[in-house]
This record gives sequence, C-alpha cells and structure tokens, in this order.
Amino acid sequence: MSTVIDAQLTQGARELLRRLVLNDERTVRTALEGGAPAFADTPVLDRKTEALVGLAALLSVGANATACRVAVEHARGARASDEELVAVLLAVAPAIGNARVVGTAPALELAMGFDETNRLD
Amino acid sequence: MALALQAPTARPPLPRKAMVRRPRLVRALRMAREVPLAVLVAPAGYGKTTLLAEWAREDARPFAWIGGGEVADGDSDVLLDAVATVLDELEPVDGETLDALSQREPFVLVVDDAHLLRPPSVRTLGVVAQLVGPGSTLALASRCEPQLGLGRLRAHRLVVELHARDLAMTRTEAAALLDKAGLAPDPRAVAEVVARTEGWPAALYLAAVSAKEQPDPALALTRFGGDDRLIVDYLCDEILGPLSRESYDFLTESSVLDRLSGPVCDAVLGRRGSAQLLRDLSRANALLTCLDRHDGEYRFHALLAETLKSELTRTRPERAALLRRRASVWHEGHGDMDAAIDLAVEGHDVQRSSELLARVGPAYVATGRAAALECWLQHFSADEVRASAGLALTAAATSLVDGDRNRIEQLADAAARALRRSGHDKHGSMQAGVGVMRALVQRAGAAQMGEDAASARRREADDGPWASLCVLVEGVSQHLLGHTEIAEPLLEDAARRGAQRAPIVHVLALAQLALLAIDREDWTEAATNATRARTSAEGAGISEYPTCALVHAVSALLRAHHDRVEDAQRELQQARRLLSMLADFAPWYEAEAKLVVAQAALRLSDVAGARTALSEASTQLRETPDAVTLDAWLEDAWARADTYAAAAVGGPSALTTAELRILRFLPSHLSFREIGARMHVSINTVKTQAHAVYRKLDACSRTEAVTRARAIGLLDG
Repeated sequence: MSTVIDAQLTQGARELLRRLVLNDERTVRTALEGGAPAFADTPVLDRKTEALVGLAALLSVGANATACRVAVEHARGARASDEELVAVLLAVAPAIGNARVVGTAPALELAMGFDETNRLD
Repeated sequence: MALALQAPTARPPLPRKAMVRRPRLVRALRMAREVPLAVLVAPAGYGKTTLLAEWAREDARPFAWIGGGEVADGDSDVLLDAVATVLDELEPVDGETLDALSQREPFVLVVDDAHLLRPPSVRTLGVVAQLVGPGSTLALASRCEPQLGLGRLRAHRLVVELHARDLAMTRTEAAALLDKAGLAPDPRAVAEVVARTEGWPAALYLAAVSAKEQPDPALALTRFGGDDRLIVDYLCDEILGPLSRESYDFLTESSVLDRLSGPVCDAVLGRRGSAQLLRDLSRANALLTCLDRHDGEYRFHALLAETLKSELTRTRPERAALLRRRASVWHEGHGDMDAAIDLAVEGHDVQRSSELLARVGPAYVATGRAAALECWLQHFSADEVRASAGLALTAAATSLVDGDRNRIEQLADAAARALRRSGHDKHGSMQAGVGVMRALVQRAGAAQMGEDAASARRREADDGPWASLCVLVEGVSQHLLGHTEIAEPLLEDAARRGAQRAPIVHVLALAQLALLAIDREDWTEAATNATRARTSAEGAGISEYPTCALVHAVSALLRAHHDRVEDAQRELQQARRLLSMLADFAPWYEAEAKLVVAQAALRLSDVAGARTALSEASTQLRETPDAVTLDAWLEDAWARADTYAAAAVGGPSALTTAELRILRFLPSHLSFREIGARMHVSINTVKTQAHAVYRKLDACSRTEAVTRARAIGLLDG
C-alpha cells in the first residue's frame, strides 16, 4: 500500500513541476502563496525544514536583515537552533559564492539579533 | 523714665514698588473686624510690616502706628503716652488714655516689633486689647509670641493670629515677587525655590538678587541655598547675631541633626538641658519649627540648617565628623536606621556607611526600598563603592532588582576583594552575601548554583540578612534538578523566612511552590500559592521589580487555566514587560519565566507568543544544561505548540525581549543612533529590531507603532 501512495506522491510532484515549467497561472499563484502542495494531504517538509529552506532562499538572493528576520523567526518558531540557522548559510555558500556569502552574513547576523560585527564600526 | 528716641508716627510705612500684594492674608485680617486683638508672630523677613501696611490701605478704619523700637527703653507709661499721641492724631478725645479707648470711633492700633517691648509694656498692651471699643483692633507684629495670655484669648475667640506658616509665600505669590525682581522663572523653578526657602519672603527676595548676579539666573534660582553669602549675611544679622554664645554654639552643633529633641541633643552634643533651650529658641522664633504639640521635636528651617552646617564643617570639621558619628550611633541605638545612615552618608563616613548599609541592604532590597539604597550609594564614587565591602555588596544587592548580571558579578567580586584586603574574609554574613549573589548569576548550571548557595548559607547566621535568599536559591536549584522532594521543604522554609523581612524571597518562593504544585497537577494549591505571591508582591511594593516577572508569569498561567482570559492576558503582558527589563540576569531564571509565559500563552491560544518565548527559553537553557525540569517543560511546550497548524510569528505577543526593550525607547525623542548608544548596540541592530516591532504591531511608522502599543497596553500613556 505504501508503495502505491509513494507512487501517487511522485506522480503528483511531477505534475506540479510540469505545470510550473508551463507557467500555469493558477499553479504559480498557489505556489507563491505557500502552504501545503495539492498532491499531499500533509505537509511534505516539516515546519523547521521548510523555514530553513526559506531562509536559504533569502540568503541566496542577498535579502536584507528585515527580510531575513521573518524567516529567522519562522525557523526559531519551529525549534531551529542558532547553529542550524548559521548552518543554512554554510550550506548555500558553495552555490552562491564568496561575494554573496560575505555580503549576506551581516544581514543574517542582524536578523538573528546579534550585533558583534556591526559594533566594529 | 526713659524718653522715646523719636516721636511715634500715626502713619504706616510707604508701599515699595517691589511689594507683592497678599490679598488672602489681608482678607483674613479684615474678616476679624470684631476681634479686639490681631497678632502676627514670625521671624524676621516674613513681611509682617508689609502686610500690616497693605491691610491699612484696604481697611476703611484709620490706622495708628507705634514702632516697638521707639518705646523699647521705656516703661508702660512711655507706651501709654505713645498710644495716646498716635490715637489723638486720628481723633482727639478727652480723658485718660485707657478710659478713652472705648469712646473712640473704630480704629486699628498697630504696634510693630512688639518683641522689643519690656514685659510691663507687653502687659499694658494686654489691657489695651481688653479696653478697645467694638470695631477697634490692637494689632501686634512680633518675632516671638507676646505674653498676653493668648491661651485665654484663643479660647474666647478674641484673637486672630498669623504665624510663619501663614505668612510663608505661596507659589503664586513667590512668582509675583520674582517677576517684580526682574526674573521670569518657569513654574518648576518657582516650585523649586519656594521649596528651598520654604516660602520665606526675605529669602525669596535674596534668592532673586543673588540669581540676577549670575550668568544663568534661572538655574541659579533653583540652586539657591544656605551657603549663599546673601542669606548667610542676613541670617547672621537678623537671627544668629542677637543670640547668646551658648545658643549660637548649640544651634551650630545641633545642625547635624534633621530632627532635634532634648535627648538626642544632650547625647550628641554632650550637654544637659537641651529640651528647655530648644523650647526657648523656638518661641523666640530662631527659625526653629516645633513638629509636635508637646514641644518634643523640632527642625531647622532648611536654609538655616544649610548655613549652620556649612559653618560647622568649615570652621570645625573634626568636631562636625564627631557629632555626625555620635548622632548616627544614637539613631541606630534608637532603631532609626534611616537617620543613622543619612548621617553617616552626609558625613561621607565610608566605614560607618559601609557597616550600616551592609546590615540593612538585603532587607531593604527585599522590601521594595532599593531606591533608597541607591540614593545613599550615589554619595560615593564608583571607586569608593568598589573599595568597600559593605558598599559593594549593597550595590550588588540593588542590582538584583533589575537583574543586571554583569553589575552583580563585578560588585560581588569587588566586595570579595575588599573583604580579603581588610582581613575580614572571615566575616560570615558579608561572605554569605557575596557567595549567594555569585551563585545566582553563575553559568555553571543548577547543581553548582545549589552548592554555592549551600556554602554561603553555612557562613551566615540562621537569622542573618542573607539566610532566606540562600535557602531560596538552594530550593530553586533542587527544583531545577528535578529533586522535588528536597526542593519543596527548602522553598517552604524560604517562604516562611521571607514572609516577615524579605518579601521578594517570600514571593519568589511561593511562585516556585506554585510551579511544583502545577507539575503534580494540584491546581488548587498552585492557585493558593500564586495568589499569595501576587498579593504579597503588591502589598510590599515590589510587583514592578523586573525580578518579579516569574510571579506574574505564574499568575498568568493559573488564570489562563481557570479561563480568566483577560486577567491572564494582563498578567502575561506584565511578565513580558518585566522580563524585557532584565539586563542579562541569571539564564535559569529567564528560561523558567519564559517557559511559564509560553505555557500561559498556549492556554490562551497565542501560538506566536508561545513560540517566541520558547525559542528564547531554548537559547537560555543552553547555559543551564542540568536543569532537567526546565528541559522537560520545554519539550512538552514545543510538542503542544506543534499541534497548532498556524505557523504565524506575527502579532504583538510575539515581540521578543529585545524588541520589547526597543519599544520602550520608541516614544522618546531619541534617534535610532541615540537609542543604540543607550542600549550599547549598533544602529543597524536598533533599526532591524524596530522594523520587526512595526511589523508585529501592524504599523508603518514609529508614531503608529507607539500608538498601537499604547492602545494594547504594551506602553503606558
């Protein structure tokens, strides 16, 4: 039975991806609103993972501290530790490169409520 | 028979431009039209003569004047001749002076400076008062109460009296006087100078003259004191100059005392008969005010006290120090610790201040009097405080109120060093104080906290000032370690010990007992302890101490359990507000309080608030890794929070402790940079946290955030 369900989930995920590739408006709108995907009855990613992934995305595009802060709050609200938050930056570092890592680290620091680097001025 | 030096005059003194009208006093005199005697008794400079002149201009009756100095050297016949002369100028009447009094048309006979008259002349005035006709009045102005049998006259309502307290200027009158003197001070400055001078008109005028000579008259006005040369000269001429040497020395030496009585003056000055001398000086109006109806206790006029103290310290500093120490010891022996400390602090006696403050410090903090301790400590420099074990320990104790961990640690360490230097490291009670404060804020965990507190307790006497706190900390340690059966009796003991002398220990122990009861699901007992804690905190005036946050958090949890939603929300808000005021206090305390906040928030379905509190508690629990009780609470609370589908992190209740701290500054005029300077954080941090505050309050600007915060009770006003 679980194999059947797994197969259904995989089919549902593949269809969702295809619709996004085709820029299906309704699918895109739903995706932008967030929330559980249509192909699953329960969240696929647990709350903490989802929050950390969201944070990773913000860090990757160089979001500022205010934007990162909401993501940090979501993550902490899902029991993410400070170590895990910093680990997100390390996880995306190889993909985003030196300049982006150094540029976005202060934003993460502020979003987490730390102040050490900013007091260097 | 001595002759008068000059012929008495029938005219009042001419009004001066700077005179301030005092209609309320004139009204009082005019309303006593049918009273035969009016007596104005006050020291020099209270405007008695000026008031009489104003009365003369307002009253329809003719006024006749005699200056006391004009007839001072004569006997009663000289006085009667003067009376006849001035009254005949108003209306010539045949017959003997006294017999003719009742035949005259209504008049007012003023005798100014009546204190200069000899007793027979004063008695003659008494006869005059009895014989004046209906509608006539004898008005006396004197610096001391005339011996006219005023007691009998008062009983028969035959006299109207105005004393110094009546003649003292109100703020309105003072403002008018200062305005006429060319100053236009704001109401606060007027209030300040009236308080300093106690409304004494001459002093107010001299304050104005002195202020005008200085670059910043407004500021100078508020700083006018008994060391200003103008008031010193005036006091010497009018009050101190006429005194005997004995009286002058007595007043100077007793100026170290705020409250004077026979026994304390005898003890401090090493003399006898002070009670009678005080009575005589008070009756002679040497600016000495009687504070009771039994001539038992007196005080100096503030300016006179300053002048005398300044003179004593300048001319005889060793004697001043000796007198203050004697007075401090006397007050301590009579149970007035505040007065004893005041004297030690005023004399800058570091050693004595240190001893006294170390003795009362814990009790004063525990009973809501930390502010008094801080006031006393401000008289000493930071170096002096750190170098003295008693002062450092007291300062550390006051920091317990705000939960300023760094300060507590630094001062406890300073106290320990001072004890070692003084060779008093065997001094049990102070060592206990140092030990228990270090135990509270150390970061080595709950077990270490308990051991340190137990060690401190062994150094302290069972009824010593630090004993109850030591027991409380031991009890908390056992509670955090999960040793309920050991914790409960300790906490009950702490509650009992604190009930009488240490309310802060009492309420925190009760809060912990309430939490123990909740753990075993005995909500009834929990509610009893929480209510007692809350009520005791209010009664002792310590419910606003930041370190009472736990009491409010427990109260919120219990009210939420009983579905008293509004009460619970109010208590929760209070707990959050107080937690935001703690300056990095003991991590176990903040973690415990935030876990209770989270539990209460969950019962109120405030998931966002609960998650915020839980994430903060998680961080703090890292520093108390062996607090198994709190770990269990944390897991339980997270599990319950996770059952909620909503993942929202917004809303006012989700404001973090740091964001609440920023919120408190937003109503001020301070820029973000200035706020950062005050909080020792960068402007970027302030900006980030402020933006988070705006978002959670659904506001787009600082003003809007402040308005929203006030509307929901997060800010006062």
